[in-house]
Amino acid sequence: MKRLLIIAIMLSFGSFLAGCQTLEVATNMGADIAAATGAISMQQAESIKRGTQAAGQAFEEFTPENKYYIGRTIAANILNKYNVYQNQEATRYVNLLGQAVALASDKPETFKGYHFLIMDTDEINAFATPGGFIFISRGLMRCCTSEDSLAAVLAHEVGHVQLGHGMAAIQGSRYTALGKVAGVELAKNLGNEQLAQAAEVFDGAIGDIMKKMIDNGYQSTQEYDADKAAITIMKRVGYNPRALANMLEQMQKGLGPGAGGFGKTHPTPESRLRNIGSLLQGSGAVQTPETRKVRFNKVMAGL
Amino acid sequence: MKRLFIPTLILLFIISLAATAFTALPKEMSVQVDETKLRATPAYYGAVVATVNYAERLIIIDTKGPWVKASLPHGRAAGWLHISALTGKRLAPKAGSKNAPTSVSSGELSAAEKGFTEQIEADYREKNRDVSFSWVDKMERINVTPEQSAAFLREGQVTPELGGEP
Repeated sequence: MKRLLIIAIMLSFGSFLAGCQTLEVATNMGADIAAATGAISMQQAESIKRGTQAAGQAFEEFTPENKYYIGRTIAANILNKYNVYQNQEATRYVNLLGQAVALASDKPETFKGYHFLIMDTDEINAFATPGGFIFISRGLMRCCTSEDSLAAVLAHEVGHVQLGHGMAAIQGSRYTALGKVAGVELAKNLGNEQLAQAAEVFDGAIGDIMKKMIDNGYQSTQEYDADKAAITIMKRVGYNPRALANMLEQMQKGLGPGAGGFGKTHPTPESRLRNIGSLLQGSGAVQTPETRKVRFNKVMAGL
Repeated sequence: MKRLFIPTLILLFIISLAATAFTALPKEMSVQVDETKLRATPAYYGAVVATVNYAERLIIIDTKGPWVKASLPHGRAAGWLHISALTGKRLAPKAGSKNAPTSVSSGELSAAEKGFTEQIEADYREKNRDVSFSWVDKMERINVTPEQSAAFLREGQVTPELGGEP
C-alpha cells in the first residue's frame, strides 16, 4: 500500500514537473522551450535571453518581417560599399554550406531565409544583417584552409543573427519614437505623417546598425558569444570546431598593423582563440575527407 | 498506514490541480515567417506535409526539442515545424494573401507591425537613389532547399558527432 502511495506521489510530482515544462513552452517562445526539452543547454538558453534583454524589451517587439526589411536595406548599403564577387560556383557553394549551418542554429527560420554573397575585396571582413543576409569577403575566405574553417566563419555570422546583435545596435530612443507613431496596427498603408515618422525611425535604425557593423564593431563579448554559437552549430552539423581556431590563426597572420575590416571591428584573433580554447578540448586536428577537400580547393582556386 | 492515506490523497489532489494549471500549452500560434513547411518528422529533412504562410494560425499538438507539432485548422494537415517560425502573437495577414480576412482586433497585434514594411522600404529607396537594391533582390533569389543542404553534407561526408539531428 505504502509503496503504491509513493509511486502515486512520484507520478503526480512527475506530471507536475512536466507541467512546469509546458508552462515554459506556453510563456517563453524559443529559448526556454528548447532548453526545457533538452534541445539546447540551459546556458545556451540563458545566452539567448541575455542577448534579448541586452536590447531591451522592445527588441522582441520587432517581427521577423520588420527585421527582414531592416536587413534588406542594410544589405543594400553594404553592397553600396563592396562589389559582389560574381562567381556562380563559389556563390552556390557558400550558400549550400551556409544553409546547412543556418538550419543547425537556434534560429533556422527567418522571414525569408538566409542568403549568402561573397564580397569582391581582399579586406578581411564579413557582415550579417538582421533577417539573415550574410556577406563574406574573398579576403576572409582566404583565411580558411578547409571547408570546416569556412563553415566556422559562416556559423559565426549566423550566430550574430541568432543572437540578435544587429538589432541590439539600434538605439533605445528609436523604439520609443516608433511607439509614438499613432496607432495604425492594422493599416498596412501608413498616412503621410505616420509614414514620415516611421521612416525617420527606420533611417535612424539603419544608421545605428551600419555604424556598428562598419565602423565601431560589436562588443567583444558579442564576438565571443558568436564564436561560441559557431562551435555549437559546427558540432551539431558535424564539422570540426577546431577549424575555427585554424581560421583565427590564419587571420592573425593576414591582419597586418592598421588593417581595416576585422582588424578594426573585431577583438584580436589571439583573444578570440583564448576565449574558445576550453570549448575545443576533445576536438582533434582538422582532417577532412578527400571529397570535401577537392570541392573546397576547387572553389578556393579561383579566389 | 490508514492515517497516512487521507493526507496523501489531499496532497495528491493539490499536486494534480497544480499540474493541470501548468499543462496549458498555447493552443494556437501564428506563423511569423513568410513561408515554411510542416514536415512528417521533427527535422528539416523530414518529408513535407504542407506549406504554411505568414500569419496562419496553427493548432499546437506536441513539442520535441525546438520542434513543434501543429495542425492546420479543421485537421486539414498536421506536421512538425521549428519553433523559430512561430509566435504566440496574432499577426495581421498580408493584404491580398489567401488568409487575408481578419477578425483580429488591433489590440492583439504586435506594435512593431505598424513599422518597417515594404512601404517604408519604398520610401527609403525614393530618398536614397544611390543605394541599389538589385543585388539584394538577386541574393534573395538564391535558393537552397534543406534537401539540397543535406545532400551537400552527405557528399562531403559531414556527419554529426553525436548522431543528433542535422
